[in-house]
Amino acid sequence: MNDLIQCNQLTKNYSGEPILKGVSFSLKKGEHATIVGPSGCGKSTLLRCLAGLESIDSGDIMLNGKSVTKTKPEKRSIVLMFQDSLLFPHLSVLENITYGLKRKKVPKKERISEALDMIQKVKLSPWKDAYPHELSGGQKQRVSLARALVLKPDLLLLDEPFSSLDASLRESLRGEVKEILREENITSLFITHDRDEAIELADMLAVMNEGRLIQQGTPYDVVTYPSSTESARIIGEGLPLEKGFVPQHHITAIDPHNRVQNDQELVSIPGKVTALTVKNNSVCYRVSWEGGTILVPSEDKLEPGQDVVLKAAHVYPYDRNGREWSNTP
Amino acid sequence: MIGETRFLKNKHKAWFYLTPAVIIVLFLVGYGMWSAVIQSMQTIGGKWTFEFYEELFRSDSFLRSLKFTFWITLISTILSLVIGLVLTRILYRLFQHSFVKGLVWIPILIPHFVAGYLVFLFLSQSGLLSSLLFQIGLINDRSMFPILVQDTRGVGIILTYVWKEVPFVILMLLPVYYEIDHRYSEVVRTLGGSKWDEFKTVEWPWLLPILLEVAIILIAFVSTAFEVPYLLGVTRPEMLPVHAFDWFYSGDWSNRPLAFAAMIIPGGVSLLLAGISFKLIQKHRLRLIKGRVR
Repeated sequence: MNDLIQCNQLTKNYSGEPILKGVSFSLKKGEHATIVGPSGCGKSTLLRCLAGLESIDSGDIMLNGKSVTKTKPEKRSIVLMFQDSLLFPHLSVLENITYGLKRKKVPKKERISEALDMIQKVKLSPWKDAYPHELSGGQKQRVSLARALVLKPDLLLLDEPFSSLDASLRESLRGEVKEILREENITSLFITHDRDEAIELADMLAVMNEGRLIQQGTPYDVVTYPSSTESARIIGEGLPLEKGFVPQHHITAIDPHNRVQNDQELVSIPGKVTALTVKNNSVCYRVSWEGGTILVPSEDKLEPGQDVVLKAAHVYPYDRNGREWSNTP
Repeated sequence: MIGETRFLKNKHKAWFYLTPAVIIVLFLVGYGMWSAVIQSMQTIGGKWTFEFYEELFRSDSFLRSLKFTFWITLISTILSLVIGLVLTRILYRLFQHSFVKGLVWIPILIPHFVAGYLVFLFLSQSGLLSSLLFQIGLINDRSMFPILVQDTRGVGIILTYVWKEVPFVILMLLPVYYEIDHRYSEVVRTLGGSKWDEFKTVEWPWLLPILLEVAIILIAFVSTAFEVPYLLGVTRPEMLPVHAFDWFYSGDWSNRPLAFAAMIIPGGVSLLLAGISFKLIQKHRLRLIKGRVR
């Protein structure tokens, strides 16, 4: 299958400061990619360049095999969904959703019917005549999504659209958005600094740091086999040790007084429980160790302040450069 | 709930701060207007009547004056709004520099009668511009310079008002431009909108209420101000305030109710326009304020 979008060596500078340093990636039709990276790493700039809101200094953006590098944003079939819903406050939900169709000169009857279909998909039918100030944060983002999707863009860019919502709403909306994107078969590129969000939404996950895509792959591969310490630190918690990296899902915390030393365990690091929390309906403990803190499960009942040992049976060793590690244990 | 309480508190506070101004307006301006209404509706014997209004609309000189006032007001207001809007749209980033802002503010500081006099000095047939054109040989005689002041079309009056009111329009529109969230323009563009769509969707909804308010202020002012048309106008046709002034000081006291009635009309129209526009834009304004992203 041909690539829908292909970015080759994109660079962008602001007042001499490099923001994008040769970013390259491609996406196929219907693929959902997520770029995860810390704040200020260039994620939003990349999306703005793809949308045409910023020019690039060098490189090429190809959409459906044609270069759109110099194409104006309104002429690209790419829609950007922002962090804030940015609904036009003087227009109703229906008017907001038909806005782009009207600009594309779709006949009134047709655009209303398409918008009503989309309103139904985002479960906002009772609010079609409401104005943005009458909607909740989640409903506003749904309208914003519908406004973008109704245009059936070749590529939908999502710039941390859930970041202003509370955790539970964010989680439920994430699932809904993923489902709608799949139903509509819209290719999407989502950026976030939230690791869980990135993993949940992605078919392809890319890790970005300091203007570069440092790793790309399936969410499983990227999380399990981070290609560098940089990538490991961004994508997930784990123990970056001298002899290699231990991903979070291989680590457990044990009470040293209750357990006998197991020879199978290659890693044994002292730590202290700082807090108890619940993750994915299981009790987890935040443990501080000499390299930082980490969230881990335990079969023992632990208390905050208690000394523990972090154990793991697998270490992913570094390669010869001492920076990269191989993808197999 | 907390927000609502704070809003109520702020509302009371606002009324508290506004009270001195409201009292002055009510007692001085309000009393003046009320007494003008009374005097335009009462005979010397104190009998209530509309006869002065009826007489006004039978008077050719009044109707001529009314038409001329309507023309001057309409053209001055539209030109001031359009020029002010275009200048603000193009230059609002430049206006952030205090020096540029200062240059624009200068006409605001000049009183209207001084502005009228300056226009007279510059644009009359014996004025500076005609002298300059004559000196450089573009005209052979000063009488070839077009009559721009004290003319029957009110060009001098319009020019004075436009020169004075454009900075006022800019002053009112600048905060709107500084407040507009320009990310909305990016939304418009990614949804396929043009530059014109950006203006129509992002700027115009915020500008509309202010432009309406400014228009009403300008209409009320231009249609009732005396000094500029008195300086730069002609005897026929003369603007309503000058006509009313003549009636008031004509020596014939029976004309005084006519003078009041003549001025009540533009005042009443301005009030009516203010009421209608307030009703029309209030809902729109609330939607904008409550629905914007903060």
